Amino acid sequence: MEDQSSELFKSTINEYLDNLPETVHTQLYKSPETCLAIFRLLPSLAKFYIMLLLFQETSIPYSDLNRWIKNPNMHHVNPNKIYQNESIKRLKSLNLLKDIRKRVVHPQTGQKTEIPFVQLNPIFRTSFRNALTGNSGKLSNLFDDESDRITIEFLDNYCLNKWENILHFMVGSEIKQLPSIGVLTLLRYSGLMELPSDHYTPDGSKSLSIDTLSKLLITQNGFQFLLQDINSQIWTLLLQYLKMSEKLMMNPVDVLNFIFMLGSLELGQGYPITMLSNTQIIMLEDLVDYGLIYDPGEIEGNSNRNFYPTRLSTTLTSESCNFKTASTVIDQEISNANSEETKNSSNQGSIIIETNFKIYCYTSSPLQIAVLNLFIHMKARFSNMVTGSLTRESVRRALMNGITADQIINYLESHAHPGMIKMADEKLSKQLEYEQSIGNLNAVNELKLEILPPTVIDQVKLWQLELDRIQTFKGYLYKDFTNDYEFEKLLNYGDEIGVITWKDRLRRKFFVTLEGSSQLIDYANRILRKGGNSGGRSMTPSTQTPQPQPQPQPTTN
Amino acid sequence: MDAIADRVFADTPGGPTNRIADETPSLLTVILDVNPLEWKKLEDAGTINLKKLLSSLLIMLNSHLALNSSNQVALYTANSFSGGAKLIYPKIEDDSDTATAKKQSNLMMSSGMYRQFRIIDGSILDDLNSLLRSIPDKLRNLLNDGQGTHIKGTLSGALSMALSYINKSQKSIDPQQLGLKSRILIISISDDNTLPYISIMNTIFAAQKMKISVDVCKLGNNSTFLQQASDATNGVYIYIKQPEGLIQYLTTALFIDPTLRPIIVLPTNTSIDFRASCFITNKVIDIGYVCSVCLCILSVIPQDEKCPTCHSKFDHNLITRLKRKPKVLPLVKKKRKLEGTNGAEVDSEVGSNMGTPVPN
Amino acid sequence: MDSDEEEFESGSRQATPGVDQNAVSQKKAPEALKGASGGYAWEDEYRRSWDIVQEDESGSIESIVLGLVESQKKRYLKNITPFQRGIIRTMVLVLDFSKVMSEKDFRPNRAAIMISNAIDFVNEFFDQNPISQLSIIVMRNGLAQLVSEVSGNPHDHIEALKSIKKLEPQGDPSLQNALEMSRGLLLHVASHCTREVLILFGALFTSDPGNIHKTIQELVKEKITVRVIGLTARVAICEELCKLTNFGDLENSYHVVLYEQNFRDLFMDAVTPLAVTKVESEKKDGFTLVKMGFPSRISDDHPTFCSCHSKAVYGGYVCPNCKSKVCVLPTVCPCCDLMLILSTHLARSYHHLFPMKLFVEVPVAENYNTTHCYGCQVKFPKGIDMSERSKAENKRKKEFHTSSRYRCQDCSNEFCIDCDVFSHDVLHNCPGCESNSRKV
Repeated sequence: MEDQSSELFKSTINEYLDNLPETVHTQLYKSPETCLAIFRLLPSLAKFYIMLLLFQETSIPYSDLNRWIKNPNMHHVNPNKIYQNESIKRLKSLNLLKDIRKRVVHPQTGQKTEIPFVQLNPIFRTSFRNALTGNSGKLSNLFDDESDRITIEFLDNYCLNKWENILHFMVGSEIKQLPSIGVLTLLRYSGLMELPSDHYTPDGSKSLSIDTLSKLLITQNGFQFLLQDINSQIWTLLLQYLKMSEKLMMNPVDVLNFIFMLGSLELGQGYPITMLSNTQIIMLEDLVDYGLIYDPGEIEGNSNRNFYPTRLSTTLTSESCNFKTASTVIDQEISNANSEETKNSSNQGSIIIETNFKIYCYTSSPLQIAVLNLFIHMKARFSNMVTGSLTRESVRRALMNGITADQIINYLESHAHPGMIKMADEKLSKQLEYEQSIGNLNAVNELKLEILPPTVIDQVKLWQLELDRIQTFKGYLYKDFTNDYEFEKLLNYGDEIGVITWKDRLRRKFFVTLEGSSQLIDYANRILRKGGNSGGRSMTPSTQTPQPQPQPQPTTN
Repeated sequence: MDAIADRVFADTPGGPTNRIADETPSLLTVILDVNPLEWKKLEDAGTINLKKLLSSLLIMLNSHLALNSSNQVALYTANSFSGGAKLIYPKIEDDSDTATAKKQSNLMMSSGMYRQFRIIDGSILDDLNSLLRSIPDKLRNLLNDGQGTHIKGTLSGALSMALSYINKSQKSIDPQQLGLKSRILIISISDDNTLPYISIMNTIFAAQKMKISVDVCKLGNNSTFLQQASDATNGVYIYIKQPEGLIQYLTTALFIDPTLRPIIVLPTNTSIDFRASCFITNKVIDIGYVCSVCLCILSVIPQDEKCPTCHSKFDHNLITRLKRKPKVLPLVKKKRKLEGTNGAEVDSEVGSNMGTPVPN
Repeated sequence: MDSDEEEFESGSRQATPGVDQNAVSQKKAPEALKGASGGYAWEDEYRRSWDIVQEDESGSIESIVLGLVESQKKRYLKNITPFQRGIIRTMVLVLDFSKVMSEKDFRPNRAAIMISNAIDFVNEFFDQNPISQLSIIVMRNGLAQLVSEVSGNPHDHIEALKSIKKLEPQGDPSLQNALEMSRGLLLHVASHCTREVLILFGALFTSDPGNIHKTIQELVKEKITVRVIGLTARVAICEELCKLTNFGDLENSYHVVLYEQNFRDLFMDAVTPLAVTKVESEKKDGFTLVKMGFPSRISDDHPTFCSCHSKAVYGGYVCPNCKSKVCVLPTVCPCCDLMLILSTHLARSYHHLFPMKLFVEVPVAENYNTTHCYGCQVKFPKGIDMSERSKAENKRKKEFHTSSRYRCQDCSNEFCIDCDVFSHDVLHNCPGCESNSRKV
């Protein structure tokens, strides 16, 4: 299922990290900066668990982790529990958390039982402790030629210009200078843009000349890409870069370490190129093309060459919504108001949308207007504002282009004017207070921050539903259970961890999402073993490990 | 109207709320009690000294910054002797910002540290260092000054400043501050009787109204008021007798981000002492007399039958009735009076014929 | 604003204090109706907002806008004399629900505005008077109907108010019936509590079954204070009612609403407890001293019965006197009759009794001593160039220039407007005074 789109892109970096082999993880965790960056990418609860274990020398029982989680209602679906499972799963797949089974003697009965314990990855623990306490010595030699500083405004201008140039190229507006061939190749490789001829010979790996590449056209994925915030856009490209670099036999540890290190560098500070490995120097040149790094070139002779991280790279490992920090810089720029072209798209927090579908957007950036034009019927343009409205036609046009309703909503939400967010916040806290005061706990759990008017959200979703009547989920169908006990047991567990998309009690079938299946099979194996030990239950092998059959599951709405 | 506003589409469970939890930046405001006399006591007792606490605290601040790149920290000190309450970090940027200060901070810190941490930690250490250096002289001066100066705790001042700061950040629409969730951590070592009761209570209500959790890490003696403070604001109160594992407390029990609070069980005890303090004797009492005009709490009936705070004259008949000795009273009154004056004696008697079982 | 008009303004201001009050009172408008120039508000020249805005030397309007924004933030200007106040209150809220309340001079109509204000009032009332009690009555069809019983639980009242939202205003109001019912409700209230009635009166008449003057006499005898907020115009009977039950103090007890915000403000003013009048305090033999218990909260692993509702509950509060368990506070211990209360409940009312001193605005100057707000560390604007300001064309904008600094007179620390409002409205502490370790 399509999730909130920025989630999707953010989760891709997580997915990438998850799927790295353990040896690479171990290599990565040797660098404190990387540890810090990976830590920031984790869900809050996972961060909390790491903090719990960080200064604990020994392992702790698994049940201790559970003790922290509230169970608000006796209802069997506990969203907190689902969240906890997710967090622990992430920790395990990153090899941060390790299960150990310890034999413990029960204090009262004297029986020996096996209790699962958890332990933090020792390499990660050392590096992360060093990051927090400042014991690592790695960055110590990068000092600090105060005279050599380049102003932050310059870097901001530089990086946003570079980045916008790429985006402008994508939407097809007139630009002075084409992005470099490396950028264009990557855009094509990642499927964000394509040549008309690619329909016939889809072979992204072949290198083409810049003239051919300049005729690239945007694809459906490209449209979706445009609606992301800057941070996830960069990550999308960096991930593609990672994949491409693997093909070019670059060391992924080097590449990742470099990316994560960028996040911990200071803006406006120059760093000597000599600290980089050979792979990283190759990368450096590529990253300059995206505006992640400013490289003044070899003016002062080879010995003393420095590179400067830009705001795009220093905020890489921060969460997407925090890129708003850039807009303060932009505000300054607007007040300076000297150059036309520095007005830019990352000016977040400028859209006001009313319940009558009218949209006002405080922007003068042609890029943002172009992006808005993808799904909005534009009415008028003023010197610092455009107005328009969401109409059935405009949204349908966007949907046809492959943009989803969720993406539109998410875009509007993440670019909403601070005033709207504030209003929504106040409304939410008022409602919360009221519901809590009358003790309506179910309602409390269901309350959400509604930045956009609910009418608009629903209508956009309805317009999408007009187009697609069928929704597809990838996953596994579980069937042919021999008895009700197993069926119910598995179904209940699946419900509890929230992976069931469809069920039919009568025919003893249910459908599990792709991600949830492995957990469910684990569970099935567990209860099988228990059942086997007790000996009281006879299970046929075919049901104990239900044959997963990948197949799309149509559900009608 | 209301029906229209309802949403047709339910979001997937857990998804969006957690997304918010994962990405909302937060501000951690720490208020550190640096009362030199109390620290001396703790140090003499051999439990912990300020240095150890600071090193743990700095790690905690670093960890908070590590959670999210937009997280912020602020540190106030509350000093009962010289200087009063003071903001240590963030530093007020002066127009005459000198490069020398920066150099110093670099010297103090080990250089291998993550840049952001290094700047913050260095600045905090510098300020505290200069504070500590100046304290012995000031204390000596104070002592020489004579006994004329009344000295009070300034925790309420630090709290008031912290709340003003947070209030400003809640009101502003600066994108950097928007949606910033705040919490306050008090590290206290002083006793309750140094706290100005009314001002502390006022700050607690303000925090409650603003929905800011006040966590308390209490060293030294247990504190009633701070317990109430954390209880009223959905905070965590931890009383640490053995401060060896302080860092573990600071990075777990006292490290629960505001966004995680709906999910996590707060490690606080639910039995809370709600006793009040007498306005005259400053003793903590559980039964007292309350002036109906100014609500001041008295543990004894004043001799002149006048309220010591608002000078209202009390009803003479009523006072005599309250003062009357148990013998003369009718049965119901007798019981009340007896327990009021020498409660400890009678407690066991009353307790024994009680129907409801009371735990603890 | 022309220069001669300014003269008139300053002239009238000078004249008033010296002259005999009675002589001036015909000419001078009542406080609430007073416009900027001292006459009635409707006599003022209309001031267009864009006339005020002018660019400064550098062509920026930032400083002016800043001043305008600041002047709009309501400065906290309440009376801060520490009166004796009746903190433990019992109040009956009487709402007019007669036909006139469907009038649409407030949007959507009077009744709807009244109810929504009343809900906010109830919240605020219990927030600031946690040991007080409230009851609500409506006047409808010539009758008085009880909406919610006397109780200290805000949710009961809010629920009740929400339920009458759907009620259609109907018939005539009857003041007498409402007053008699309030009298009945307040009859059993203990002597250390105040007895108050707050009437929201939309009609210009009352249709009563008997002699209302007798009822008023009864109220005076019972020491019940009645305050009225009129929605249309002053009515003689209300004036009499307020005068007699407030020891002749009409000014603070009878108000007529001017506009929507004013309605709300008047309503919210009733949240602050009434001052004890001199007459009253002299009449009395003295005030009462109430014995109260401050219970501790306990938590059990297993539910036990509470002595107040006989329900099995997990936690609760233990009476320090007889050790019985109750489940809600404040209450009277069912076993030993001791008043049980949280000390925090008492503390919440303290700011009425020990109000904080007002901050004083620092006059506009070229240079200031402070650069940052003491509370939130926000940077203050710099001083204004005085020589520039004296120029004729800058005269107009000068009244919108502020120093943006407000000084506490005790500790001489300076605060910004936000912190000023915050410390007086919410915090009730001066951060500066509290931060000083030496008591003055």
